This record gives sequence, C-alpha cells and structure tokens, in this order.
Amino acid sequence: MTNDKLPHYLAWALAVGTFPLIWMGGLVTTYGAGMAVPDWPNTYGYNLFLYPLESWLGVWDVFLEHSHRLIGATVGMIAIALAVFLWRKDSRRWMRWMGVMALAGVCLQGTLGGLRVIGDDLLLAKIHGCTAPVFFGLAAALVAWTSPAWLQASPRPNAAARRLLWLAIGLTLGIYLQIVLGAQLRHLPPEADVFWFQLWVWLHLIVAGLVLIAVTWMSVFARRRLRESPQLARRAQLLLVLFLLQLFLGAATWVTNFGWPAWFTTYLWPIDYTVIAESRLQVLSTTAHVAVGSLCLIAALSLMLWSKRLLLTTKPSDNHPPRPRT
Amino acid sequence: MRCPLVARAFFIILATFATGCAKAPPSFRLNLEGRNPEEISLAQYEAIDLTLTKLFGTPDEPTIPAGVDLDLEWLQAAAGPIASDADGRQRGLFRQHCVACHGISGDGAGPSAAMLTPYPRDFRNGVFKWTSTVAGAKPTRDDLDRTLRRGVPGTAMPSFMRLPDEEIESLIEYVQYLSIRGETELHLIRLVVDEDEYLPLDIDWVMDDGLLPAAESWQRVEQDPGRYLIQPPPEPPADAASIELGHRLYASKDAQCLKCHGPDGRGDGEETEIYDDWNKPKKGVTPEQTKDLAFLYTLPIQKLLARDFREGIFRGGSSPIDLYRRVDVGIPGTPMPAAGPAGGTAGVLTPTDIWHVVHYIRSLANDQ
Repeated sequence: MTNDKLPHYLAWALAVGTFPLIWMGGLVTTYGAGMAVPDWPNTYGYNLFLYPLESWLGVWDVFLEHSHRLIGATVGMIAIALAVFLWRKDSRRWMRWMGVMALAGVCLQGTLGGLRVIGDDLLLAKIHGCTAPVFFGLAAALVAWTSPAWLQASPRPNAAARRLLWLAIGLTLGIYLQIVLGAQLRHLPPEADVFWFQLWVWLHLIVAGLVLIAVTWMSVFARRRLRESPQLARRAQLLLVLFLLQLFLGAATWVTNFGWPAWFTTYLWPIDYTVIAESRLQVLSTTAHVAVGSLCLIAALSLMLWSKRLLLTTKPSDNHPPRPRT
Repeated sequence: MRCPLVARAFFIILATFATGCAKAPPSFRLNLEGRNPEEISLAQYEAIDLTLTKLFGTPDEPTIPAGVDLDLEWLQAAAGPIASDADGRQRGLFRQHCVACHGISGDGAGPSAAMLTPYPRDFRNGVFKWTSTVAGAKPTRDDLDRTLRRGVPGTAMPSFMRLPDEEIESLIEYVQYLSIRGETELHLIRLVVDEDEYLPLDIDWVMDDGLLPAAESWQRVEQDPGRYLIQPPPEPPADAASIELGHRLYASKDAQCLKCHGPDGRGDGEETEIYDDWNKPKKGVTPEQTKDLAFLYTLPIQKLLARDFREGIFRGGSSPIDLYRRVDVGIPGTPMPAAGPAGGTAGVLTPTDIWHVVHYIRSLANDQ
C-alpha cells in the first residue's frame, strides 16, 4: 500500500470525468446523434484532437458526438495515468491489476463506441450503453479502494453485516438490471415487434418496484442497525434519495415522450398536455434518467464495498453466550 | 445433460441483448391485418412484395413511381437509418421521430404502439383524422403540417415545432409516400389474394388501377382547393344567444351529439361501444369471436372514448375553426359523423348552426 494520494485524486478524476461522459453519451442517443460523425477514430478525416473548432461547435449533432469522443479520450488519458501510478506505487497486487482493468475498460468502451459507428450497429450501441455504467462503477470503486479511509479502516464486528452485504449486492445487481432493461427500451430496433416494448416496459416497472422496496428496507435497516457506522447509514440514505429521484425521472421520461397515460387523464386528472419532440424538458428528463441510473448503481456499489470493508461478519454464536445447561 | 446455471445465464443475457437485432436492413411489413397468413401462398406473397419493392423501393432506399408527385430528395432525408452530416443535414427523420409509434411501414404498429391510447395512425389506408377537406378527401399538406407542428394534445403524438421547416416537409412527404404505398398494397392484396389474379402481375395495370388513383387523390386537394377545402361562413359572435342556440342544436335528435357525448358534453352518452375503422373489424358478435379475431391483428382491440368537452382537450385543435371542421365533416375513420351539408345534400346542421354548436362546445370547456 501507499500513502501517496495521487492515485486517489486520479481515481476521483476518472470517476468525475466519466459522469459527464455518460451524460454526453445519453444526449447523443436522445438526439439520435450517434451517426453524426460517420468515421472513427478520426472525425471527418481529422485527428480527434485536430478537428476544427468552428466545425465542432457549429453543428449540434456533431458537437454532441465529437464532445463525447473528446471526453472519452480525456477519461482514457486519466485511466492511463492511474494505471501507471497504481502499477508503480501500490503494493496491493490486485489493486495494480484493477488499474490495468480500468485502462482496458476505457479502451474496450471506446472501441465498442467506434465499432457502433463504423457498422452503424444498434446492437453495439446497446452494449456500449450497458457497459458504460460498469466502467463508471469500476472508477467509483477505485476511488474507494485508493482512499485513505479505506486504507486505514479497521473493520468492526456487526451482527447485521452479512445481511447488509447481501442486500447491497442484490441492490447493485438489481439496479444494473434496470440499466440493462432501460437500454433495451432506448435502443429498440425499428422493426421490433410490439411484444418486446411491452415486455421491457413491464420488466422495467417490476424491477423498479422491487428495487424501491429493497432500497427503502436498506434505508430503515441502516438507520436502526448501523448507528455505529454513520458512513454506511449516510450511503443508504443517499441511495434512497437518488432512487426516488430516479423514479421521478422515469415517470417524467415517459410523460415527456409519450404523454400522460390514458388511465391517468381519464380517471384521475385530465391534463391538456402535448408532447414536444426534442423539448428541453424531454431531453433533460430522458438523459437525466440515464445518468442518475448510473449514480444509483455506484451508490449501491459503494454501499456494498464499504460494508464489506467496515463491518466484520459475526456468527450468531459470537453475540449470544451459550445457553447454560440444565 | 443439464445446462449449468452460468451457461444458462449467459444465453439469457445474450438473447436479451440480441432482441430484435437483425443485421439485415429493415423491410416493409406486408399488410396482413385481418387475414390468416396461411391463406396466402408463397407465390402470392412474393408477387405482392416484388411489385411493391419495384414501385416503391425499400425503407432504406425509397423510390418514387412514375406519375407520382413526390420529391425524392425530401423522401430520402426522411428514409433510411438515422444519421446526419458535417453540415447538420439530417437523414432518417422518420426513424428518429416516428417509427417507434407508427412503425417502419407506417402501419401504426411501431414497437411502442400497443402501450399507447389511442393507437398511432395507420397511414396505409389513406384515412387521416385532422383535415380541412371535405368528407372522403385526403388532407392537404397544410393539414399534415399543422398536425406535425401542433401535435395531438392528450396523446403520444408530439409537436414537432422545434424541427426546421425542411425536416417537417420531409416528414410530410414520407407520410404521403407511405400512404400511397399502403393504398397500393391494399389494392394488390385484393387483386392477388381476394380475386386470385393470374401471376406474374401486369405492373401497368397495378399502376393504373391502384397506385395512380391513390396518388391523384393527394394531388387533387392541392390542385382544386375551391372544391375540396371546407369553406365555412364568417363566424358569428360567440355571445350568450349563440351558445344557447348551440346548446339546443346539440341536444336536438337530428344532430345525434348526445348519443356519444352525453347531455352535458361529458362524453357519457348511452353509446359506449364505439370503435374506429381500424378497430371495428376486430370486434366479433360475441366475446369469443372477438377473442378469436385478435390473432389476425397486430394490436388488440381498443375502444374509443367520446370526447368530454369539459376537459378542454381537443385532439384535432381547440380553435373555433378546428372545431367547426370536426362538426362539419366529422372525424374520418371514426363514428363521429358529418353534420354539415355535403355533395349537394343538406346536412343536419347549416353552416351557421355549426358555428353555434362550436360556441356551445367551447363554452363547456371554458366553464371549467
């Protein structure tokens, strides 16, 4: 291990850089700008970094796609620096390989994006959208693993640790499943049968309901059982707040794209609302739903990692003295 | 041998990602609504498909048949996959903005259609609801332009007011193209399947009897607006007397408004089984028949709800002239009848009466 804080700062830079990258990628999909630059890794024949400023800023779709690539390249450079520093300075062998994985991840993600453009391939666009939050999760995990708090932490025994850990693992997987289901809806092929859209919408709603129950339970559980670990309790509350925001954004995404559902306007409240294509409200709610989904994922992941780090699982026998024999 | 859990999970994930992803370019779906596909032979299917492709091309590369007045450049901007160039010129507009609901063939059965109420418009039989033209006539380009820019309030149909004019023009062109193609397709299916026409088909015959009449019906309204556009008289003042008169006309037996819209315009008339032309054929005499018929259609049967005027949500526009047109010529493809005079015969309402009814309807919405 090392006390050098540079890898930690670099990990922060990687995570902080990845979030706008996800936003920009979301905007690219929302505006249908994925094919605004038809070549890769060049941009209209120019080296990525040498594309003329006036052409970049002059056309909205090109601005989105080229900016996405530039932010991606910046994140890639941060990943290189982080991998090098971890390899040279961190004594934890697994950690060094995690740095390499981050670098491989950003390369893979970039290549997926590039191949999606070259082949104008919807399947690759879908995979590109699903792997982005995984990379974001890895960047967030690197922030935790390189932090002084992680290095200096001394785990405490807690009877609820095992349950908390499994719940956090379940939540992380559940939220990622939500992201994958959302990607199915975002990248549905034009010829897809009506069955698929209904399937993905219902699954998205059902899993959202299950995750909401789990997140609420986690929040209550953390408040009651984790008084001695305020870091974990705070993360559980943050996850609840983020997920509630995500539910609101999900509903807003539907309404701004498809209008209020008929059952709502017929039986609850007849709202005279007209969907406006590419309105700020539509673009913001849809893209924010993508971005906050990734934030929910790393909040759950963070809870999982820190509960593993800060809490020691105890067997029931450790807490309860053996019953005296009669 | 049992498949290991990890392998099963892998295959499920793979299938999930690959859902509906075909590398082949998208193709138009044959209009088999209400037909049993097994009753159509492969030769018949191929003859229809080949003829349509020869005349209209494919979703990625549309062509315009001779004698059809459409602009290929506009059409190409709307067709094909979504893309744009260094100058910001958009392509694939239909796929970007419309296909999720209206479908690649314009059949109103895009991926999201089944979850929408009402269903998106099926362009293929050439019937459009929001028109300024007389009964039976096609909408004008201005009508389609108005619907695109305004959207349809209370439905999933968005307003495209933020799109540049040339993109709106491209979409109008593509909607007309899909509609002409759809009407030609219906003609071909009748010819080949119902009348068992000898194959191969004579393409000139298809042009003369199916395609050109469909295309001309679009051109006619533009060329002779005096004949096809609704010409309302000047609007009288919307005062209390006009509203009162409108109320009496609304409640009159001849006007038939009460039947669906109810005595207070709440949409609670005694007629509750209302279906549009796209859903009516899905209704059997018995529930069992309706259930059996469902297998022949892409979307399940959907009932119409008569408009509750008090909500103030008017899908075809809420301005007096929009409502005048609805009352005058009805809503094509729905049970909303024409109340105005048509084809030399007097309607149940005179043009001035229609204005009074419009004032009454608007007063109901304004009361809320």
